Amino acid sequence: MKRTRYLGEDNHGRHGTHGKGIEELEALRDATEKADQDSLPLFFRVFRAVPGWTAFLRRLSPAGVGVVPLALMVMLAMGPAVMAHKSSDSYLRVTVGDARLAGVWHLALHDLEFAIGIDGNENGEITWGELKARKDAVLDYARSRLDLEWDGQRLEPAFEAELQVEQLANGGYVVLRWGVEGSGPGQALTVQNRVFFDSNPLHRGLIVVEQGARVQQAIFNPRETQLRFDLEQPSAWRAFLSFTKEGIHHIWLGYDHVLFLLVLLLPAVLRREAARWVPAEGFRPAFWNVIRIVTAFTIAHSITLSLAALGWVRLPSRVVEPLIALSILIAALNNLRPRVTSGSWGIAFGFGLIHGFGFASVLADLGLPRGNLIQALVGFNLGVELGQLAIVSVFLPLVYGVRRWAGYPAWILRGGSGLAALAALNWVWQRMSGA
Amino acid sequence: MWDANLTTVRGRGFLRGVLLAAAVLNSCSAGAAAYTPSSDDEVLERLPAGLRSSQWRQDRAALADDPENLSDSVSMARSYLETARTEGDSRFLGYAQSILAPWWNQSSPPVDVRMIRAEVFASAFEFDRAMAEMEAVLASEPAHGPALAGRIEVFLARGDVDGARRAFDLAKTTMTPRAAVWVLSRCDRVSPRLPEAVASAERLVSEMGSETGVGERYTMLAWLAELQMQQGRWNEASARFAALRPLGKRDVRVLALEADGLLDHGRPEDVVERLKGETAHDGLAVRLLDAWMRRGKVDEAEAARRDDVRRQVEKRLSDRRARGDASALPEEVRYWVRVQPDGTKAVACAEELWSVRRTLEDARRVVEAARLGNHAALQKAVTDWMTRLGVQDARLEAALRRSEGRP
Repeated sequence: MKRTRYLGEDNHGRHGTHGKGIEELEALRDATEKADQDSLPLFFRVFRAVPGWTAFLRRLSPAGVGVVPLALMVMLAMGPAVMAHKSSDSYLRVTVGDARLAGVWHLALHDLEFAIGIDGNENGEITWGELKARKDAVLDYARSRLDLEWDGQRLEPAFEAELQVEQLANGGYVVLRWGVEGSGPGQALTVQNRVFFDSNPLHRGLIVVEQGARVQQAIFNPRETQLRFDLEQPSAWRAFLSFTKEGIHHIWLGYDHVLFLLVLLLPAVLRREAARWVPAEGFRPAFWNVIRIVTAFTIAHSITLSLAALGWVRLPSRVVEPLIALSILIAALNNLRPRVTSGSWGIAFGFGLIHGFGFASVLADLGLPRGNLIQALVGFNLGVELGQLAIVSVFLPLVYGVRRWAGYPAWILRGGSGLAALAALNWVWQRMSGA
Repeated sequence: MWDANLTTVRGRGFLRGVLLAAAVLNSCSAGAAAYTPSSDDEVLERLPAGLRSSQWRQDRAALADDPENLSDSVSMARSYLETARTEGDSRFLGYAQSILAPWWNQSSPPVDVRMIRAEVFASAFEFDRAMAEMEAVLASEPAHGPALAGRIEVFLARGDVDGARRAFDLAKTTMTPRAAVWVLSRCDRVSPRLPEAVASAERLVSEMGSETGVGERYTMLAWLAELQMQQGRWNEASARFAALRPLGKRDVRVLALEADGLLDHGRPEDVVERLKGETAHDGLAVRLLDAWMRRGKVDEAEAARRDDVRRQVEKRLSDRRARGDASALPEEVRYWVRVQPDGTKAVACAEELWSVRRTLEDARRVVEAARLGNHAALQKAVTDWMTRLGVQDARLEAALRRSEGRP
């Protein structure tokens, strides 16, 4: 094979300098092309020691190798001028509450396609149907790329099973939501995010951690996949208030506790005389009767709530929940066929112990802040009491006002208790059968 | 692992922290706009060509079975780089990198990997790192053509034409004649030798024959058009762009170039017509917005569409800035000069752009930003550069005249 004389090289193999002008270049080109006529194309001889380039360029221009060098120059020239537009970004927003951690994670469908494949029919369009079909793969992928820790203790974020989507400026995104319940804020939250870094090292994971009004933000990249966010410890007063609100919230939504209390209070404005219900003579005895019942219930459930919250006594919810329903049934039956007429507070106390375990399971779900355990416990209990008092303050005047109605014992006391008994029976069945 | 808080986000300062927070909060504002589609057929995303190709899928699958096959890996990575260039989609730069994962972080990877690293760095405006890669290649293979040629382009991107000419001297022996003529014209363009650059381009075009591939034909016509625009010969350049369309190729850079010419010559309607479907590209979308702004009165539907695109573009630019992506700077400058005029932001972006890249187009944007932000020192930096190199550019000179209040 003849040796190719390259552009700018003189007959002695010496290289020239720039500025020789077009004419010289043309002359050299003519000479070079003439020399190449019967040999391998120039480019492949120049770069034949570089197999990767050669393979690529064969692919780039298999039919016209003569253009390859120019094509290569174009590529090299335009590289720095790439008008890049869509960058590969994901967005993670973490909200730190006193008793829970929540996340909203946006992952680009484009990136998911490259990482795990979404476009089932390979037509270049990702549809909702195709995304749904890959839901498990998407969730598995996301779970495998996110790790969370409070102060070194690993957390298990629970991803919601239902996907949503959102169109952001960068294209279509799947929106994943997750939460960690039962965990108060530690000193620091550590987040490890490895999403897409293996399939696109230029990917960046943008994260914002919100804790009340405090916002921290950072970027994950392949070299920094783990970030630590220092958190503010809620003050004792804030923890107290927060858990007080949770207590009120729970008693208002805890219809079984409320129903139990109401069933006990229905006869509180009456008294039993000669096997008959008669109206209480004045507000004072009725009021104190109610106070006794409510106080007994409060003391009882506070005891078991505290014991359970501190981890000293545990009862499984599969036992507690049917017993709570059973307590309503028994209290309602006692109104229908009275056995205990003057010591309802005893029933309230006895079953209140069971209800306390029910409250404890709620408290466990909320998570007790480690630094403010007692404040949280007292706050939650106080909230439950405030919630009860609110109910009683509305209920007592109502039933007291109608206690003299002749139909009260039959329609309100027995009718109401009958309905409560039916509801309780249903709950007993549901909770025991797991339906 | 590092601690994160508002002021220590990778040491890039408060502004970046705020931008980052805004980026994430805007992106996932409690999933306010998240929804559950009502139909399985609803299209959520259209994939770029690079991800649609079933051949590429097969190649990827094959590579997954043999991830350490250097030759195939390099070949595929280069295909991704090509897509990044023609589609203007920087995600493909990352895909290219991922394909080369077995070698990417090696201190002395194979030369092909070094060259791809250089291209990825250059695309992200990390020119020093790109240059270091090519220098390393040349240390082991002094006659490595792509590395010799790549250095020229990095010098040109930095606005160092003398460096580019010296690099050309070393590289020209490895080039085919046409390539050499073309590269030399790229150097001449940023010098008093603009007429010679145009003459070279005209000859390259005139010598194209039936055997000339579409890719080369497209590139040479576009190159000539660009130089003619630089000379102020818009009518001829426009004819070249018209000749490009039947070739059926798509290159976002060329689309942007033509749009610039149309905008300069008072034809925003044509830009809107050509770019109305190109809102996914920052560079094209900013030009589309520019055209919309110049059209003045628009109907309600178009105004709503314009505002929607503007929000999207601003969000994307904000995201890219938050992640420290300097390659968004040219679009950012244009955005703050032409679309949402803000002298302070325009100057901040322009200063940063001028510190990392110095092309003729950059010079023009920086002049416009300096004028808007009344920043004489920045403008002087550009004019000093122009004077030193002897640059001739009709559009740049017009921008300077406007800036100086001359007719």
